[in-house]
Amino acid sequence: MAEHLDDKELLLQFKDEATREAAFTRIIKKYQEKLYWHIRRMVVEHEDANDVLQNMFIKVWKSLENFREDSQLYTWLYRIATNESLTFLQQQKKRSSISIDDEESPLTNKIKSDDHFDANKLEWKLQLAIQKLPEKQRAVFNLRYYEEMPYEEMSRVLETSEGALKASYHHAVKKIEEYILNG
Amino acid sequence: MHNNRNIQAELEGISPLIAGISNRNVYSVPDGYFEAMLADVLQTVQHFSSAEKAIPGFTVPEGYFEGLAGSIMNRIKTEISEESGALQALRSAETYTVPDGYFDALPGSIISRIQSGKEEGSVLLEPVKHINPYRVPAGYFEELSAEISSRLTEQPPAKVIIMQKRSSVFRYAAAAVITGLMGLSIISLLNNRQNTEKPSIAMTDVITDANKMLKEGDLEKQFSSLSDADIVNYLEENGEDVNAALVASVSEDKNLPDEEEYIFDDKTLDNLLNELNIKDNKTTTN
Repeated sequence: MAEHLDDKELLLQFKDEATREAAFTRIIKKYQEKLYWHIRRMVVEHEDANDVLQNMFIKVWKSLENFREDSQLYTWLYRIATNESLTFLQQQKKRSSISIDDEESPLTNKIKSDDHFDANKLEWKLQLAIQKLPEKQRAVFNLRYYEEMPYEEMSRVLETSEGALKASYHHAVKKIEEYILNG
Repeated sequence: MHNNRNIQAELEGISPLIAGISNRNVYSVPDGYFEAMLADVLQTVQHFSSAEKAIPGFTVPEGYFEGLAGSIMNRIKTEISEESGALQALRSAETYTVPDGYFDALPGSIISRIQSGKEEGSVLLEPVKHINPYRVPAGYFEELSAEISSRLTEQPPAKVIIMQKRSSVFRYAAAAVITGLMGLSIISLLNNRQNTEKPSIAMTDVITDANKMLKEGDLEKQFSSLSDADIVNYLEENGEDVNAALVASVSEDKNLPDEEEYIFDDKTLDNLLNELNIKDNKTTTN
């Protein structure tokens, strides 16, 4: 089962020019869905998520040869995905002409414009509440709540101390609760 | 609800409300998206890959640099010889022509024109060379000298620096030095007299003559009989700075530059000497 090859084996195959493309295909297949959903929850729209995911994998192709194996490939990929998502959101903010006084943020509008959006369902209220969080805190919440990532790994992905991540997650949950109850 | 019990317990500890919400994915992706995405990324990556392969490492044939200099020289020689041949062919093909026998007749023609003194240009200019195209008002030259004279009288008088005659300048300088010496001698003699009862006869005579000259004021008259060269020699033999002595003797205090002028202009002293017309007098007098 090629998909079950561990990351070290995939990296070795990638360094061999004869097996490079095959190894890269396996890496994409192994991580594409996890990374897609992480990105999608950050940028909300599928088209945006697709752009960020493809750009991210192309960057991975260009720099994987120099990847330092002292960190896990899985952690490294999540770090790139998170940074690419945050960069994309920053660029979107700069391009957006919507005033900060507007009631609805662009991401809230995108959630509400989803074909399956239902304002009465808690799951969708939860999504609206998550988009109210600051971007970095949103990444912390998503990685813990949806990806169920241990703080130790999150610490490597976000390059933040575990204590700070725990505190950030705690405050994020409290903000979301407040929004759902009173929002 | 979370599969991970630790995460579920943590969430229940923070917010039972949030812990009770399903964490199922509310978003969806188009059918076959991940397969298509994989194909897109691989296509892009293959494009990069082929672009990288299209740029081979730069190599040169074996022994290229050893033969490079000789090869370049051979090409240069070939191009020079080809160029020479082309120039030679062009050189033989004259573009311009001259009348038959032109160069045979040219020297004689030039000589005859020189002898006649009529070069082509001067032939044209000859009739007009004495015609002045400019005009002056009628009677201008007649009135010019009178106008200049009248304007000269209107000019403010130039500053006049009163100078002694050169001959007397040296005399005053020498007199200043000698008077000083005589004064010092008298003071010295008076001091000595207290120690020795009788001064020498010769020195007594000198003192008597000096007192007479100072009393009668005819020191200038005495020096007028001396030449400039004798006075300069005397001053130099007595270790005096001739220029300094001259400046001290001929310039009045009111004509001397202020101290500040020496600071602002280092040629102030030269200018003063030039004004007094005594600079380098040693050279001029010798």
